Amino acid sequence: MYLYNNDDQQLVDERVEQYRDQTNRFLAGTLPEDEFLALRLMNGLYVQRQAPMLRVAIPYGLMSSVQLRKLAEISRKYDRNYAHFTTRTNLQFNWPKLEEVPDILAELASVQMHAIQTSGNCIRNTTTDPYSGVYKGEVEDPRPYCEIIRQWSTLHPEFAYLPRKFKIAVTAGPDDRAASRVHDIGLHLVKKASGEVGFEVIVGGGLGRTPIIGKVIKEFLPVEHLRSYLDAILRVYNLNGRRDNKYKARIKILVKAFGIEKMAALVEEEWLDFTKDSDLLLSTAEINKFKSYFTPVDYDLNAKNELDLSAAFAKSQTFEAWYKRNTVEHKVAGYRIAVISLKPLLLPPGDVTDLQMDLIADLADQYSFGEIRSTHDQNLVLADVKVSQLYDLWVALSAANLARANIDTLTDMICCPGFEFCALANAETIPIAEQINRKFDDLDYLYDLGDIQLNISGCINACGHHHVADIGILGVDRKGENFYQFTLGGSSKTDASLGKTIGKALAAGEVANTVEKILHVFVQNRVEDESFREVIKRIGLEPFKEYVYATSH
Amino acid sequence: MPLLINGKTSVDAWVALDADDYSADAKAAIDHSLQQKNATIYPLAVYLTYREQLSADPANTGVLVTGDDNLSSLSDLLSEVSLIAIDFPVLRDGRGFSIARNVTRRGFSGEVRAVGDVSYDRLDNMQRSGFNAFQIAEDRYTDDAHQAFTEMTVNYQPTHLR
Repeated sequence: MYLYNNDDQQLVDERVEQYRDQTNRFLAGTLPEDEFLALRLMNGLYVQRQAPMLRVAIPYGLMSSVQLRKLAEISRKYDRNYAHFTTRTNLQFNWPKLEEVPDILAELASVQMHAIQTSGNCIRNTTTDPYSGVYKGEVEDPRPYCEIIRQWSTLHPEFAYLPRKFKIAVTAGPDDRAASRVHDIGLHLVKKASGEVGFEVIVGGGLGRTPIIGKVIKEFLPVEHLRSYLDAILRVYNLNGRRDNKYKARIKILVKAFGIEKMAALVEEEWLDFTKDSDLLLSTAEINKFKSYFTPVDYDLNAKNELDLSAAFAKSQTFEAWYKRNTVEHKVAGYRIAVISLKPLLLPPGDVTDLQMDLIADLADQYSFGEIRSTHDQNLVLADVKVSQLYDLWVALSAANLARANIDTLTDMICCPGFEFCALANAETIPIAEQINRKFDDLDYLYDLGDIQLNISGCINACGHHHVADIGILGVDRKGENFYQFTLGGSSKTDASLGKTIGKALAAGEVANTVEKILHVFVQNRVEDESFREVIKRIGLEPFKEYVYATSH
Repeated sequence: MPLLINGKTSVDAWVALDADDYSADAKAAIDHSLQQKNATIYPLAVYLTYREQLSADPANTGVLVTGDDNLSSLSDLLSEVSLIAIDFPVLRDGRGFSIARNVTRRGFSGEVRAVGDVSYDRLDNMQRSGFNAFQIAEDRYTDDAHQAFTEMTVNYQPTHLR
């Protein structure tokens, strides 16, 4: 992974002291509250319903065991012994004290981490495929480019006060595990027939009040122009994005207003006139320097001789289920990608305790070259585990409630923190996730259903990505009571699409029953192994609407 | 109002005529300021209207630009003025950073002055975007303002210091 040089370290150290001074001036009353608000947000600190919330950047979802142990330590020392992974692969502390945040940042800086630009109207942490570098179908490892984007965007003087927040996601190839089409910019690594590698550039995707699937602004951008082209997009956005209404300030609204052709023409003009051949142009040597941080780990070539798990499967059916659901084929024979489920029964999706973090760090050292990745689906990944060590890994994870074999099933939900933790939320989400978990605890039933994405958001801002799930649930408040609206048929993957609402919002107590009804219609109409998505595409929403809203069954 | 130029507190040699000065009789206001031979900052729209008259004396002519102005017209007149003041109407409005970058990279070598909501914590960003003068409201100015430029000594972006 990328290692800080002296300049990188100095930058985060100076940023800590700069923020400490800002906090001190705020507490002393010499920095006005509205100014401190913008400054603290740019450093990941929100003030929420019950306490501040600090969001720590996990650049492109990659961290070392040393870093994860530090996060565990921070949760013990400054918080309540747990933390929460987000859909943008960052980590949130829910109970820090505002005056202690500078100390937390200093702790983070000691392990090459920070909270820079994890909030605010600036360029946020870049996210990517959690299987980068180890997945068979990838064009190239996207992480060197993610690090290039991280450096270009970090404390960029011109783009710190954008019209609104700005999120970039990069995919490693045709498979999209980063929801790139609902990002402000999506970058897809593509390879021409000639072998030249570049990016398909998508712009103007997003969720929230106005969900939009991004559009192609450039079909092929050679990799050396990555930085110069992003710079051009950002400048066009910074000068032209709406400033009068924060709900219409994202780049998606600008792209919609201009039309993609005009947007593309403006960016192209800016790019050709100024940035393309400027000092933003990446040399091959520079790209290779970044690539050198992400070379393949030292795999054991004998691992391919130990692939037989039949004895372990005979010992435990639960292990076999975990192997099938929670591990993924690796590009090196004898290794698997192991997904650690942060979706246990009856606990908030994405949460981890300090002890779990310590354990995962130890397991990463023991079985996966000391690295951990966080995913868009709020799980963790050990990317390089020997097949012959999977059973031992599973035993250790099981003992810590981290081995629920539910990856990509109904209970592998994306869920925002909801009303209890978020000042924006209108409705509770975690009790709803619990309700669904209680109803669908039968794993065999879940496996029969196959891959289903169920996402829950506690308000229209859609942090739980309900628009892009097979089954999306949006919490709304009606006179102090929570109701839940269902959307069906969305996807954040390569075939990204927005789900459609099936009817009026339903009472909180009806959510799990409604999911059951939806699944009933799916199972009744399913032909062979069709996925939920395929069935919706074939039969439409009408049968679901009819069954869910029928007066009696 | 305190003015920092190249990191030092400076005396403002310019007079800014605001909208009120023009509303009654723009022509008279301009004639008056030309007679005084003051170095004067005109709102961009006013400058464009009286361009023929005002472009005669670049050394004593400046324009005030806001994010709502027609910015393409600005690039045509860079040789006619020696000061460009860029307005930050509110904290959240960051268009001024890109406007400064646009005029300096087109070769403008005069004073690029930040006006409006200008305060300590954004001075460094402004300087790195191409500003070299900062007009700070009295109640937001402190004598340690110049320290804002040295809080961060490393950065990842190509620098555009003037």
